This record gives sequence, structure tokens and C-alpha cells, in this order.
Amino acid sequence: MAVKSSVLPGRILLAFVAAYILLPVAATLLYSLATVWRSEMLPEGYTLSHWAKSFIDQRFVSVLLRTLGLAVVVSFVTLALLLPAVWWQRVRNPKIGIALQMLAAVPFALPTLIIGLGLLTLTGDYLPQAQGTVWLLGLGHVALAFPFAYWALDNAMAAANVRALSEAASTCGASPFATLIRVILPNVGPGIAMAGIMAFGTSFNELVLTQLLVGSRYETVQLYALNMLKGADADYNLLAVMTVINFTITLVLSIAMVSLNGRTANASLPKKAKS
Amino acid sequence: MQRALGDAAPVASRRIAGRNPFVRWLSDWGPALPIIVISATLLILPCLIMVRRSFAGPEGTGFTLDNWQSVLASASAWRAIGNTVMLAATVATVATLVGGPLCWMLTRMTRGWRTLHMGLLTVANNFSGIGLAFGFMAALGTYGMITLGLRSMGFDFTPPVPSGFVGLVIAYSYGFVPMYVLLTLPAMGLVRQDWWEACQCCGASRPEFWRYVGLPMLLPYLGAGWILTFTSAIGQYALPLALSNSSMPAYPLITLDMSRNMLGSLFGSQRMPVMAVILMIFAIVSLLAYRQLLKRGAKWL
Amino acid sequence: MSTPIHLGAITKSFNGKPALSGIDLDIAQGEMIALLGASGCGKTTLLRIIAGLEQPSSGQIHFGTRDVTDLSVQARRIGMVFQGYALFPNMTVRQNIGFPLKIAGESASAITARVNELLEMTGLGPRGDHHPNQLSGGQQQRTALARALAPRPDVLLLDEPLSALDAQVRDHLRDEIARIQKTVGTTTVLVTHDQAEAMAIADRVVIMHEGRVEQASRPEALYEMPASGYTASFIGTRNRFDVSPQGGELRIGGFFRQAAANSAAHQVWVRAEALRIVPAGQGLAVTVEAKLFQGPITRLYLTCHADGLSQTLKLDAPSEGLRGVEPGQSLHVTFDQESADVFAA
Repeated sequence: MAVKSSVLPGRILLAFVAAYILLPVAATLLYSLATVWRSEMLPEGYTLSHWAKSFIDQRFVSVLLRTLGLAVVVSFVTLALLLPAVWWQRVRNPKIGIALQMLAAVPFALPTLIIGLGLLTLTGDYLPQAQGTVWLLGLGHVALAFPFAYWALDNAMAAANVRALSEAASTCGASPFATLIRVILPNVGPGIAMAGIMAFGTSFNELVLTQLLVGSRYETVQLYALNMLKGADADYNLLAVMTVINFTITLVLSIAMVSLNGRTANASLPKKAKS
Repeated sequence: MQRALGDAAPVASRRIAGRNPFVRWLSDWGPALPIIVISATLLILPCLIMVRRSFAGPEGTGFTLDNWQSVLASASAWRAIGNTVMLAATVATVATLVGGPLCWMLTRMTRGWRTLHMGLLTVANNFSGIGLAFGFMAALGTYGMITLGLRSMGFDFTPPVPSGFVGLVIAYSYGFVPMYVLLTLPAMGLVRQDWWEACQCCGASRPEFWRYVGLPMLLPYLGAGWILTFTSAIGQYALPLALSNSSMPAYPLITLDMSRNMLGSLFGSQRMPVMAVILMIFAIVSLLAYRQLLKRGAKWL
Repeated sequence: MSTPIHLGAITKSFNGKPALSGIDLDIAQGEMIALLGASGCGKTTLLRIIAGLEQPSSGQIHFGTRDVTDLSVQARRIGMVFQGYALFPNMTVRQNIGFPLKIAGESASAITARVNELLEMTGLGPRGDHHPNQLSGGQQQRTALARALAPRPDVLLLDEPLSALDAQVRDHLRDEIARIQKTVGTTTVLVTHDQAEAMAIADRVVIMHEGRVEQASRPEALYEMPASGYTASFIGTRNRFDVSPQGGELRIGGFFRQAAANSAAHQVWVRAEALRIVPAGQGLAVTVEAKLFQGPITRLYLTCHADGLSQTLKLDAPSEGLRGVEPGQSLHVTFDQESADVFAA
């Protein structure tokens, strides 16, 4: 019959991988709730005091808000820059796709560290006033996030048959701008959401550019965690709380991605019929 | 199709564009220019300046091979390069050996189970950097949950040093096995159910099916996944930085070496650009090999 | 070598839904039978059960005296051609054909000899070192057939072997398959939804409907004497009259037949080519709705509003005889007593 692998070694491997993924998360969660945890498999007692403490800690709260704010701005800027580009690529000039794909390969293949150190050198030589600014960091995040957002958008536009939609809109007398806003955007909704989430996640979890370009002047979640981990006065329980928050946000983004992935595939059919 | 497009879209643009080639070019590329300019400036220029700097004198000008000579003569540079390659190759191999079978199992699961496992893998793939490092310490550190658990059960268990080879492999695998699975999963769809049925009709057992049909078809894609994992692991910085607890890491890597050089002595450090270019060479060679493997994989299709 | 096949009371259900309900069928040694039916009738399931790719819920399968019900696919000694051919893309034509022999552990020289023989038989000679993606659909089909025949199987199974091919190639290959099957003499089961293919190629056609065997007969018998309304509707182009008996008799135009005693509704099936045009005053009055020229044969679509009937009829006749007929024209048609098949509903 079917090539099944519900055999024992398969189950063991699956269980092992699941444990491997879940154990560090579970340990971190327990750490954020533990009173003392020095000798046994599980903490000696549980408390919510670390959580309470973290939300009145000025540094903790501003780190969280700062990171969220930056990630939101980065994802909106990425979308605003990419949407017209991908749409124009689909309806007018396919060469845009070639250029974007080549650029998209760079952050995918090259370590961010090279880009970060290169930017540092570059601004040091030619644009010293940009050094250490949030603007530079934001643009850097946009550049890092753009490949993932680009792939999501490009797939969505291909699936929604954007070219035919645009042709239909222009025969109805719609201007290119009106076409983009009124016809294209509503039809590639899940793809846009996906791209936005990708950009958000990239910015939220980014450390290298933040550390190199702005350092502690603009402490984000990842940088805070690094400083905590390295610092002499580290509060590991507070760090655990931040890590759990970080993980939860990642989890929510991942769930959104998986479900959007299912939606885009299904949603494209009726859309095609409508056009 | 082509005619319809030609009739519909450029009606407006013909009026605007006229015959001026510059205006025409602008109307072809205009909406894409901002993102192209920004990403090219922030992604390509930094690489170019690294290449330039690797041949420049201490002042950032002139042309010299001294930087390369001194790096290639440096035992510590070679150790960092060797370590990095060794670590990345090990992680990529672990990812292939665990991720390959995992991929196959995922394609054979019922929908519900697959969604659950895909969700887990996506989370693990995205949960990176410092958070992961802390989770690793919380589970396998000196006072980690697993360490304490094993000790309280009476085992004399010493956890691996987080910044050592074994520790790094374990921590890297957390993100890279899921990444490998997500990258390779689409290729599993190539193995058609009726090949296995045809094999059975030819008298072949399951191992024979994998030996003669399944693996030969998948090998290029498994190899491509290995290459991508390898490339990505070579450039890792945040995770080893978080795991190494002192300025002298137990297991020096190219990326750690670079940042130490850069941050330690910002100017006059000529080693960092050379290491950066070495990393770039790795990336470019891997990318070429990756494309070659994909071409090889598509050959029979 | 070639063996008869005996299927005894085969049933199969998927998740509680019956796919096959009690299939009994004997296939003679060297016979070629076609399982024919609409999609979902269970023909493919039955073929896969014979192959061993599916397990029956109950029933027995014998190849000759061998009970193969519980044997694995590998142990049954079958050859199978899959609908999409399932050629191994990483192997050349030669390697594909030789694969079952290689698995059986035959010597390299024996494999080469047998492969050459099959390349010759299927006319694939010059393509031996090509990979499947370099072959046309017809060549892939031949390769699949050669691979299935290579180990000299007891039973050859063909799952819609021609459905993926162009019309011209299909007709040619259909005759090729028939020729090769007669040459090697292997008992063969073919699954198809194409009645022309089944009729042309098979010694016996098995009509399947909703998991049952509706009729198993020689092609001519099937055509001339359908055993049920379903077979009649499925084979050839037929007109169906739903008639209620009046005074124990069925009457349509000039046609007359005694009704089955205990049934109120009857189906009368008449093949399109059995309708004849007759002079006014006889038969059924009809109006020509449309005329379709199909080469030697022309088809008329006729509307009939007489004798309590209100329906469209199809009439096939040699094109010459219909030259003067135009749409809108009124005609009279009838059919012979013996050309009608009557079933009590």
C-alpha cells in the first residue's frame, strides 16, 4: 500500500525532534516562573514576581516598545516600497523581477555580519553623520527583510493573476494608481499580510545590525538579552521573561504564517474566477 | 495575451512617455527604483567596500597584498576558518541526516499531524539568536533543566561547554534542522507514489526502492539543502556570540574573529575585511554549487 | 507462465463506503479482458486488488491454483503498466526495462539479451539509451509495457494505458498492445473508460457499475444484446424511450411488444443507427433539429412529440442517404422489432 512510515523508528525520531524543540522553551518558561532552581529537575517553587517586576522595570518596558515600534515601521516601509515595485514588475516590466531577485540573494547568502561591518566602514568613510542613527538601522532592516517580503508578495501576485486584473481595470478606465489601490491590494491581501509578518519578524529578531550600527543607544529585545546574558549583574529570571515574550511573539508570527500559507493557496481560486 | 497587454497598459503611458528614452526608462522602472536603490546601497556597497578594504593600506587607501599575506600566514586565522568549516559541515550533515527522513515522514502524515509538526518547525526555525542561546542554557547549562534532571536521577552528567564544538553543534541544530526541513520539503513531492508501486510490481523491496529510485532522484535536492545549511551556518554570529562567555571563545569562528577585530581596534584593523571576503567567497561558491545541484536535480524531470 | 485468474466474492470498502460489492470473475489463461465503466465504478480498485496494491476487505484471488490473496505485490509475479507509466526518471529505457530482472538477480548477459528482445518487440530499439523525459508519450508507453513484460509475468495488468496519449497515437498503440499480448500470450486485465478501446482490444469486456459486474461478454454480444439498461446506456449511442404499457402492450410508432407482467414502467433502448426514415404515415413523426456531418456517417438530432413522447432522438445513417435532409424538415422514423432492447424498470 502507501509508502507509510508510521513504523517505530519514525515515531521515535518525531518524538525526539518534538522534545528537542520544546525542552528549551519549557525550561525558559519555568525559569521565568521559578523562585529557586538549583538542584532538582523542576524549580523548588513558583512565582509571578518576575513577570510583575519586569512590567514596572523602565528599561524592560521601553526595550519592548522600542523593538515593536521599529518592527512595525520597518514592515510598513518595506511594504510601501515593495508593493509598487512588484506590481509594476508583473504588469509592465518583468526585468524588475530579475533585478530584485539578484538583490534578494544577497542577504540570503551573505552573513549579516559582513553587511553590518561593511555599512559601518562605509558610513565612517562617506557619511559620518548617519552613524549611530536609528534611520540607518531601520533602512538596514528594510534591506534585510526585503527578500522574504518580496517572495511572499511575488507569489501572491502570481497566484491572483494580477496582470489580468490590471488589464481589466485599465479597460474600465482606472488609472494605474487607482488600479493598485482599489483592485490589486484587495486581491493580494493574504500575501501582503505574509510579507508584512516576514518583515516584522526579521526586524524584531535582528541583532547583528543593531549591535554594530547603534549599539546600546537603541537597545532592542535581542540586544537587551545579549547584554543581560553577558552582563555581570545579570538577572536571569528577567531575561527568561523577555525570552518567553520573544518566543511568544515568534510563535504568533509563525502560526500566522502557516495559516496564511494555507489561505493564499485556497483564496486564489475564486479570485481568478472573479476576474 | 501579448497583444491584449500591448493594447491595454501603454495607452496611458504613451501619452505620458512619448518618445523620450529617459522618460520611457523612468516609466518602466520608476515604481521599483526606491527599493532597488535602497537595497543596492545597503547590501551591495558594503560588500564592495569590504573587497576594496581587503587590498587597502592602513589608511584605507592604496593597494597592497599585505593584509591577505598576513591573514594567510596567521595560525589563528586558519584555526578560525577551519573551525568554522568543520562546525558548519557537521551541522549541515546533522541537519541532512535528521531533516531528510523527517521531511519524508512529514509528507506521509495526515493533514492535522503535518500542520502541527510544520508549526513546531516554523517556530524553531524562527526562534533564533539570543533567545535560543538562553533557552539552550536553561535546558542544558550547568543549572539547566536537563542537567539537573539527569543529576537528580543519579547520573554523573556534565553538560557540554556551550561555546565548545559539541555545544555549538547542539545549539545550531535547533534552528538548522527545521530550516533544512522547510527548504527540502517541496522536493519530497517529486517522489511519486506510483514509482513505489511500480517498484513493487518489479519485485523490489522498500530498501531497493530507495537505493535505485528514491535516493537517486532526491540526492541533488538533499545536497542542495546541505549546501544552504552549510552556507548559513558559516555566517552565524549572534548565537555563537551569546554562547561564548569570554573574549577568548573556546572555539574561535570567522565571524567572532571579525567582530573582535572590528570592535577591538576600529581603525587600522586590516584582518577583518580579509576575513569578510573569505566568507563572501564561501557564500558565492556555495550558491553556485547550489544552483548546479538544482539543475542536476531537474535533469530527469 | 501465463495462468488463469479466479476472483471469488471480492469486496472492498474505503472508510465504510463500499467500493466493490461481491465481484466474481474467472479469466481464462491467455485471455485479455477489459474492465470498462465510468469513473468511480470500482474498476481501478479491482485492478489494484489483483495486483496486490490494495487488500480486499473479503474474498479470494487465485492465479491458477496459487492462492495469492495474502501475497505481497512482489511475490505475485505480475507485470503492470500504470496510467502515468511510472517510469523511473533516473534510469534509461534499457535500465527501466531491465530493472525487474536486476532485482530478480539475473546475470548481466541474461538481462541484456531479454532487454534487446523487448526493445525489438516494442519497436524501441534506437531509444534504448534515452531517459524517459526524452521520449514521446507513445515511447514512454512502450517502455512501460516492455518493463511490465520483462520478467515474463503470470499476469499483465494495464491501468488506462492509453488515456494520456493523442488520438492518433492511441489507435496505433492499441493495436500494438493487442498484437504483443497475443504474441506473448499472457493473461491480461485492462482497465479503461473508453468503450471503443475496450471493444477493439479485449476478448471479453466486463462492464462495471457501482462496484458490481453489470455484464461480462464478448464485445459483439455486448453491443447487440445488452443485458441491462445500464449496459445499453453505456455501450454505443442509443435512444431511450420510457414507456408505460397500455393493455399489457408497449407501443412506440410502429413498434409493438408484450409488456413484462408486473412492471408499470419500461425502458426501450434503440441504437442510433437502428432508426430508419420511412414514408409519411408510418412510424413516429419527428422534426429535424440539427444535422451533424461526421464523414461517412451523418447524425440527425430529431425532436419527437407524438405517442405521448417528448424527447430528442439521435439517428445515425450513411451520409449519402441524408443528403436532402435539412433542419426544420418533418420526417417519420421507425425501427425494427429485433433492434430494440426492452428492460422492465
